[in-house]
Amino acid sequence: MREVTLEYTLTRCGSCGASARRYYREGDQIFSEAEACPCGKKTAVELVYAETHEL
Amino acid sequence: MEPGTWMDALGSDDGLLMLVWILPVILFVFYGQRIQLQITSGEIRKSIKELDRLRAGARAELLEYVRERAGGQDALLDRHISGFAIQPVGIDPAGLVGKMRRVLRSREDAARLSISSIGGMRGAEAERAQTMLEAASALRAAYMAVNHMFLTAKRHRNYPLILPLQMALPSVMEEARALSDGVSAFKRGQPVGDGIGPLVLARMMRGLEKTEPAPQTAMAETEMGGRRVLLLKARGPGPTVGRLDEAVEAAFGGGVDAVVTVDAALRYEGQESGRIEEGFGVAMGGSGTERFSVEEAAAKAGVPVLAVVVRQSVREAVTLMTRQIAESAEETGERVRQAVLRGAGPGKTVLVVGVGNTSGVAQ
Repeated sequence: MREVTLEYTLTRCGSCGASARRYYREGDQIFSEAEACPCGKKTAVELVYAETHEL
Repeated sequence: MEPGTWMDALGSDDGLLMLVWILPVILFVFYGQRIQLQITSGEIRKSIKELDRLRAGARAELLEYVRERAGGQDALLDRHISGFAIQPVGIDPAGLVGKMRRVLRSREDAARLSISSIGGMRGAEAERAQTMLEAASALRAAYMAVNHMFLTAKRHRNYPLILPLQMALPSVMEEARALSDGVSAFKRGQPVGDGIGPLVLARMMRGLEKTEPAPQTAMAETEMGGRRVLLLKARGPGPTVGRLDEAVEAAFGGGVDAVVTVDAALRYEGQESGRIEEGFGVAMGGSGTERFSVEEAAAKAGVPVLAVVVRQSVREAVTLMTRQIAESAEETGERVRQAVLRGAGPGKTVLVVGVGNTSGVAQ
């Protein structure tokens, strides 16, 4: 069994509250501005974390 | 066979058997320590090689990080990596904490001044370089200490001298590996497990006006159930723990009726990571000088001290925050709110301190 650790960023829209998870990108920090939400407003980084998966 | 002398026995098959027994006994009586030393040495030598590799890796990452931003500064950085701090004399313990704080601050200030004198790095970047410098310095110190103890035992061919090293080595290696892995997280400005306290506080002070009551700290004021709540954390997103003790002392100057600290705490073996626990006292790691100041201030004021901790391993504390720890932030925040309400009645002031490294966590 092999383990692999992946890095994720959780973003949340300050307007509609929608959250999304994507792979971590260099520069992601808690509360830093992230990509636009489908509702048209900006999202912010809510959490950055590592998750270990078994292959 | 008739009973006879041992010389008779040597000439028979029984005598050969006796030799098989006696020779190892003689060997172990006279050379036992050396044999044990040889066996143990192999394992310790492997660990020392690994420590050397970790030390060199952390140094290389730091030099590369600075070189990319400010050109080659290898000699200056090497001087700081090999720098040391002398513990104050403990024969007379009165005033020891103040002396310790002075030594640690002198070292910290010198590293900060050196990094800022290099130029090319500012704010969070400079703080990252300083944290990487501390990690490289700690790994070098661990390597030097372990290597010294090992070589001393070898030189004196003294097995008992190697025993304490053999006992301590698994923990030393665990911490060294964790620190080495953590360098990457600090370099990339990612939140680490130890940052759960600052993360909880950052979420609580989001959108509020912040002040800087002491260097590298951020404070905001809010209200919970009729209580005035002062929220304090290290100023992010650079990897710093801030001078929380100075900020707490400043807050006590304005009157505080209860203190709640939120921090990461080492989990017990068999315990799951991300588990939230509540207790009493000041949850604050490090050298102990900062905890002493907060305890002193609370004791003088005669106010309750409550603590909320999130359990994790040594490795998790200094590497990118795991999902379990990150997702505990919401529940931890709720526990802090309950602690605030328990700590003091309406109309009172409660100081909440998010303790830990605030790498990657703004406010």
